[in-house]
Amino acid sequence: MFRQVKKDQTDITIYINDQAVPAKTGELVAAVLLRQGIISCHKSPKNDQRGPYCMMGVCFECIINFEDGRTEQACQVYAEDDLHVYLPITSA
Amino acid sequence: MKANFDAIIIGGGLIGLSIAYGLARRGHDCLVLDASDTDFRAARGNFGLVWVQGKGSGFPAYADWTMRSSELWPALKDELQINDPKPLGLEQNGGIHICLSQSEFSDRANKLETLRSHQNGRFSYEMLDRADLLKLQPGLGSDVIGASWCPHDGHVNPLYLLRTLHSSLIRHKGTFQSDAAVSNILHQSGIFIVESKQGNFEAPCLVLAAGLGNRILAPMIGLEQTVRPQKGQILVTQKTEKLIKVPMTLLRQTAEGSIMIGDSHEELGFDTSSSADIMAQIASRAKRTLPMLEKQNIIRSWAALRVMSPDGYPMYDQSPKYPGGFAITCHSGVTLSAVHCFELAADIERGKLGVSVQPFTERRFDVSPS
Amino acid sequence: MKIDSNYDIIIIGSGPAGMSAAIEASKHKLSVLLLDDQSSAGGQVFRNIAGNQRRKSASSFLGRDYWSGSKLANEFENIQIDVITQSRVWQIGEDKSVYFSCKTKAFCAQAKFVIIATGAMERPMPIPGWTLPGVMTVGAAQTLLKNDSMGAEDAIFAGTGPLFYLTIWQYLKAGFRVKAVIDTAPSKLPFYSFLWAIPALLQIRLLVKGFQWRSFIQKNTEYFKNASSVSFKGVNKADIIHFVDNTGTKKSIDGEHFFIHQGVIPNINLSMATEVKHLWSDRQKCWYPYTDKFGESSTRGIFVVGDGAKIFGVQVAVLSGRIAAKRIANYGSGISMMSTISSLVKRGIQKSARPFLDHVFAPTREWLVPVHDNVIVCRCEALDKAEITEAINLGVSGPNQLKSFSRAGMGRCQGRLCGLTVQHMIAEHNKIAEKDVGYYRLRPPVRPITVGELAALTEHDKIL
Repeated sequence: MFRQVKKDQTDITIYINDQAVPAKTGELVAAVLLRQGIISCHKSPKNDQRGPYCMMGVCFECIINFEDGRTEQACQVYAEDDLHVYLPITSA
Repeated sequence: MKANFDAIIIGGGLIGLSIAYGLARRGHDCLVLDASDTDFRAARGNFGLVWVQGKGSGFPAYADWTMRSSELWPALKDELQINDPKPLGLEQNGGIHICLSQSEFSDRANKLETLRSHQNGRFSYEMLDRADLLKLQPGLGSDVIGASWCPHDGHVNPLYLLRTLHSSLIRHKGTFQSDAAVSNILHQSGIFIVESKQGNFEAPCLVLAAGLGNRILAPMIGLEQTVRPQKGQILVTQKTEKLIKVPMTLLRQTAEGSIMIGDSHEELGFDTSSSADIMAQIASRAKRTLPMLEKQNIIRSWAALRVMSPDGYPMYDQSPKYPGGFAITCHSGVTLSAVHCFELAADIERGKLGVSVQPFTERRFDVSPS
Repeated sequence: MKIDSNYDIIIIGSGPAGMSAAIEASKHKLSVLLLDDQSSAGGQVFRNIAGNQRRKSASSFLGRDYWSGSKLANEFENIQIDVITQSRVWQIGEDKSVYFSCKTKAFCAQAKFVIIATGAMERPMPIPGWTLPGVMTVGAAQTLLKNDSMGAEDAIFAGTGPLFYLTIWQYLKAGFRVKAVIDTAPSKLPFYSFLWAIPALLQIRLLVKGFQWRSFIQKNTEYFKNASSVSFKGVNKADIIHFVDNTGTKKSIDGEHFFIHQGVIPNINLSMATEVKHLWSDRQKCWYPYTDKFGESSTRGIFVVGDGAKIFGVQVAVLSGRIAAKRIANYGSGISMMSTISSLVKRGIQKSARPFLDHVFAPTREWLVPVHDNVIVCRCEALDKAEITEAINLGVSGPNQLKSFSRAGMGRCQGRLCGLTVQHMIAEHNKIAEKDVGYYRLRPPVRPITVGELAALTEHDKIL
């Protein structure tokens, strides 16, 4: 299980699939997912589950969706208060 | 590797492979000589439309030839899929050409009506106004006035077409030689001798299907093919749910879910770079056509060179000086693949181009003495 | 939307090379725009250094090498240049126009010179189970530690290389339990590796440090040396690692989070899409852009510096950034480059340990080309070794024909995670040298950009 080096360092709330989750300002959304034990974001064309792998924008496996239809890499999005993200794997 | 074949085809793109497979399935021992991995290769830049509407409005023979190919396509698909299960994704349920202004709409209507009248009604189409069009394709932008719809149109996966032609050729005991750029062609006692990077090969029948390379090769067999490069750029999005219900001239969705967005016609010589300004124009037109595309990520762009004749129509020639020698060029390699495979290959086997394709001779550009 | 400025230099990337170039350029009063895709400067190696400085005591586990970047980062904070963070460069035009995307808007900025300092990435590691959720790279562990002060308890590490040992050391210092370390560095080195040890002695401090890390790790974790045949298994996530230990015995360890590493390679997607000339390094098994000693590529005015040019690490990156900026400041002016000579010499000394490291930590073949048919080669299109082999067997002239036959390389990552694997497979099948196989033809957009963002570029009358 992923944990922070120093626990309880959270100051904002983001929403993953409309579920409130504590996060820290400036944290990568991919890190928030991992801390929640979410290691799968989407499915491959052959239906295998995939999730964060490189954390630097190269592998394109940490895919998240936004309400406005945008798709992003979770490791390229910084957490802000009241951010809403959706996982393709659950909305499929 | 042996050196003698029934037929040598120079060029392993859609034209070369369609003809080679067409000959191989008729029992001929064929060799395809293909260039290198990074050569121009128009076949890799194809959009994938199997398109009839609008073609040949100034050239009835082309309209007929295109229609014939569209009729033969299901048979080609069935045959190829026996050899290779990679799904061609052929759909021939109609296609549309979007009009973004009233004048575009009227011009289009006139063009297609002229075409129909030349073809004795064989070609059907319908001009759809915005209301009827939205029933076919929801979500069209407010700039869309209407479209021309043609039931003969469709699309296919062009890269899998290339692949299944390739594997079908191999299955029928054809030979495919890569990295075999041709430097010279000689002729002796009815046999063509082809000098390539992979050695010399001989055959009584030779087909030049090297795209832009035909310009240099054609004179070697007493022919002329004045082809020039015309750049086209395409954008490709990530895979997404089915947003595009019917293929359009500039927008189609593949079976895997990615959306292909075209296109451009640039006269920039042998330049195959992707340019931001053209890409932006292509994206802009797509967004006007289908605003829901706005948030789709473009993950890839493509630029390839169409093989253009002076009037944009195919050039099919047989060498008067060296019987058995042919030069074949067009820029609709996907649509015409079926008719190349089934009918043009039969002509080449006979040694004589048939009536349907005689109008496509390069000599149509000769200026007649007044 | 076009940014109406003509900068002297646009620098892409704010790692050690980018920061150093920016600092040097500002000393010469050049106008600079620096673009970085993260929210603050530092690149990967000094990720979030400004943020971590504010709570330094809590981040001491990051180690001396990380904190050695403070001085550079502080100097960078104090220079007067334009910086746009969270900007993703997706194209560099022939005329040095730089297209980038920031907060869902596309922009174009013009420069006389461009310095690409986009750094390195992990090499592809197509081993069984590498795509299972729960398997990540050591670079990912680094980012999570540096940016998010986060780590996995009871993680298992498999691989080798300086970054591998550093990360485990940091994990232990941060107070995480490390369940096991599976070190895949082979015991038998080619004899000529030791010849490289001689120039490496110029960097003795580095080598000593390496040995210190290794012995600390051996004391504090269950450590397996000279391991091979690493694989992961699980349904929908990795829950076990299999490997063969140094005696040839098969071993398995249960786990939840696994980090793998086999070294880094230049991230060449932007430089290749910009069509500068690239060369193949047989020693590092990777492509890198050709650059002269000042960092200029085969295209006049475009420079590539740092690990994005060739893997030599932080010190060389800092020197290269400085050398490039100095060169640009004096471009075509005939001013003596004497002051650059000392930088060049210093850099030469810094580079000296690299060949030895490359040999000692070279990935074994099984990490470069999968052994088993069902291992995924192209992650994006979920193509395994068998499918790629089938396409190669049709007769392909190179990676681009393979791409058109199989779709390998057509996914979102644009070949970053499959290009080298495919290249090795084609070389093996066609029996030609790797450098002669070539690579995928890469094109912009190098980062995804939406249809809407791209379309908006036309809505400005100053479009190029």
